[in-house]
Amino acid sequence: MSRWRDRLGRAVRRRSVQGGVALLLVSGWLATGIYTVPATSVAVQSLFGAVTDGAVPPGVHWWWPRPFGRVDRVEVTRTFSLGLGFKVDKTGETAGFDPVESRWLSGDTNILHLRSKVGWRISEPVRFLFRVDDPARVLRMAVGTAYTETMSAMPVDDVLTTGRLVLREQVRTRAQEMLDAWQVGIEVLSVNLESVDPPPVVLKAFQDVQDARADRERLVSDAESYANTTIPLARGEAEKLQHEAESFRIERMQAAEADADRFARLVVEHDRSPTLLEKRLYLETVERVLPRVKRYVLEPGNANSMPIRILE
Amino acid sequence: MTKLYLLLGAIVVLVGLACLSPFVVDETSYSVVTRLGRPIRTYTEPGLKFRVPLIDQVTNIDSRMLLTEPPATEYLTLDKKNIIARSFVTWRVADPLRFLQTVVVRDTAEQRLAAVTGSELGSAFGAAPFDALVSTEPAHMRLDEIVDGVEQRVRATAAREFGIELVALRLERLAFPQQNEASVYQRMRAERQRIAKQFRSEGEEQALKIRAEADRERSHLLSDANRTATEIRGRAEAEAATIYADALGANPDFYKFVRTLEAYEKIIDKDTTLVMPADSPLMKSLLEGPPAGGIVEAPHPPVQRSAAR
Repeated sequence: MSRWRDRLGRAVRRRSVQGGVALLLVSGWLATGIYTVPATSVAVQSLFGAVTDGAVPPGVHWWWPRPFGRVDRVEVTRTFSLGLGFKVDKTGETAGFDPVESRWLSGDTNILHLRSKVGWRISEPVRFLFRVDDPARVLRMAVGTAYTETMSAMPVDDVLTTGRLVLREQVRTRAQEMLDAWQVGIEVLSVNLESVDPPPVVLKAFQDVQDARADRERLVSDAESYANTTIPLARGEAEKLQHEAESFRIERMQAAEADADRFARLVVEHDRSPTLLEKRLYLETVERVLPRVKRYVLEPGNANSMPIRILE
Repeated sequence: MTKLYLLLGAIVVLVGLACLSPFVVDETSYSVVTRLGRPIRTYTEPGLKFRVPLIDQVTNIDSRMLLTEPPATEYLTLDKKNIIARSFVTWRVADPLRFLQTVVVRDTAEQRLAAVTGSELGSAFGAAPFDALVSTEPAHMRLDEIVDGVEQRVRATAAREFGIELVALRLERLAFPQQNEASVYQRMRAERQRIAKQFRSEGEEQALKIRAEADRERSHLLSDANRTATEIRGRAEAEAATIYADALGANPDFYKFVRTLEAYEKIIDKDTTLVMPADSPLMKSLLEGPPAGGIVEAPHPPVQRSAAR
C-alpha cells in the first residue's frame, strides 16, 4: 500500500507543477481576449460562430479569444467612396471616364457618359459583415440600376441641364430603397454627378446647341436694347414736336397781336389825317425800297427810248 | 496492468473521438449533417453543435445574400430593335437541403440562375416594344413592370427547382449593340442640329417681334405727336386770324394799303431792277416840284415790277 501511496504523492506533486503551467497557459490565453474599439468604430462579438453582441461601443473590452470567440471591428463613422464610370488603372481611379462602364441611355435614347461618386457608410455592422457577400459590389449594382431606371425615363436635355439634381436625388432614394429591402446594412449618404457628357464624337453638335441657346438670348437682348433706345427716343421726338408747335403758337399769337397793336395805332393816326399818313407811309416805303435796287427812268410816252440810268 | 492500460487507451480514443464531435455553424452559413451520405439534420442557426464522429459529415452552405451577374446579353424587342441588357440577381439559399440535392455548389447555382434569367428576359423583351424599356413618354414606359414580371417568374423557378430565395432581379444597364452605335450617333447629331436651328430661329422670331413692336410704338408716338402739333398750329392760325380780323375790322381799306406797302418791301430786293416812267408822280415831283393845288390825290402804287435779273 505504501508503494501506491508514494506513487500517488509523487504524482500529485508532479501534477501541481503541471497544473501551475496549465493555469499560466490558460490565463495567458484568456488575457489575449482583451481588445480595444477605437472611437470611430463598433465591434461585433461572436462565440462559436454566433453573434452575441452586434454593437460593442468604443473602449476596452474582453471577449473569449480564438478559437472560441471572435471580434470584428467595423468603422461605422467612416465615409467610403464608390466611383462609377471612372477609368481605373494601376493607381486607382483617374480623371478620365471608362468608355463602356460610364455609358447610360437617356429616355430619348441618347448615349451619355456619366461619372458618379457615391458616399456611403456601414449602418448595420452585423448585416454588412455576415448577411451579404461582397456588400460593396451589391452597392455598385444598386446604384447602377438606380441610374438606369431613372435615366430611362428622362430626356437627355434634362440630364444635361436642369434635371441633374432630380437625377441625383432619385438615384440616391432608389438605391437606398433597394439596399434597405435587401438588408445590406449600407446607408447611401450622397450621390454626386462628377460629369455628364455626350459621347466625344457628337460633342460638337451638343456644344452648338449651347451656342444656339446663347445666340437666341443675344438676339432677343439686342432687340430689347433696340426697343429700349427707340421708344424713349421717339417719346423725346414726340415731345419736341409738341413743344415746337406750342412755341409756333406763341410766336404766331405774339406776331398777330403785335401786328394788331401796330395797326390799331396806325388807325388812330389815320383817323386824324388819312391822306397825310398814307402819303408818309408811301414815301417811307419808297425810301426803303428804292436804294436797294437798280433804277431806270423812261421818258414819258416813249416806251422804246433808252432808259436813263440815274444812279448806280 | 494490461486491463488498466486498455482502459486508459479506450478513454484516450473516446476523448479523441469526442473532440471530433463538436462543430461550429457560422453566422454566414448553414450546415447540413449527413450520416453515411443520408442527410439527417440541417442547422440554420449559428452556434456550437455536435455530431457523431466519423459517420456524420458536415457540409457548409453559404447563407448570405449572394450576387450573380449573368453576362450582358443582346435581346430583340417586339419591334425588332436590338438592345443589350446587363442584369444581376441577388439571392440566398432558402432550403439548404434542396440546394444541396439539386445544384450542390454556388457555381452551378449561378450558372442555372443566369440561364433562367437570360431566357425570361429574352421572352419579356420579345413581347415589349422598345419604348416600353426606354422612353420619355410615361404612358409607354413599363420598364419597372417588365423587370418585376421577370423577377417573379425567375423567383418561382428558383424556389421550386433549386431551393433558392430570389431577393431581387434588376437591370443594371441598357445599351445599344456596337453595330448600332454609328446610327445612334448620327441620329443624336441630327437631333442636336435641329434643336440648334430651332433655338436660333426662335431667337430671330422673338427679336423681330420685339423690334416690330418697338417700331410700331415709335410710329404711334410720332404720329400722335404730329397730329397734336398740327392741331396746335391750326388752332394758333385760327386764333391769329381772329386777332387780325378783330383788329382790321376797324378799317379794311387802310389795312389793305398798309399790307401792300409791306409786301413791296418784301418782294423787292437788291436783284430787282425798277423802270419808272418819268411822268410818274414820284418823278414828277422831283422834276417839276409840287403841283399848285398840293398833293391831294390818293396815292397809287407807282412801281411796276420787271423781271428780276
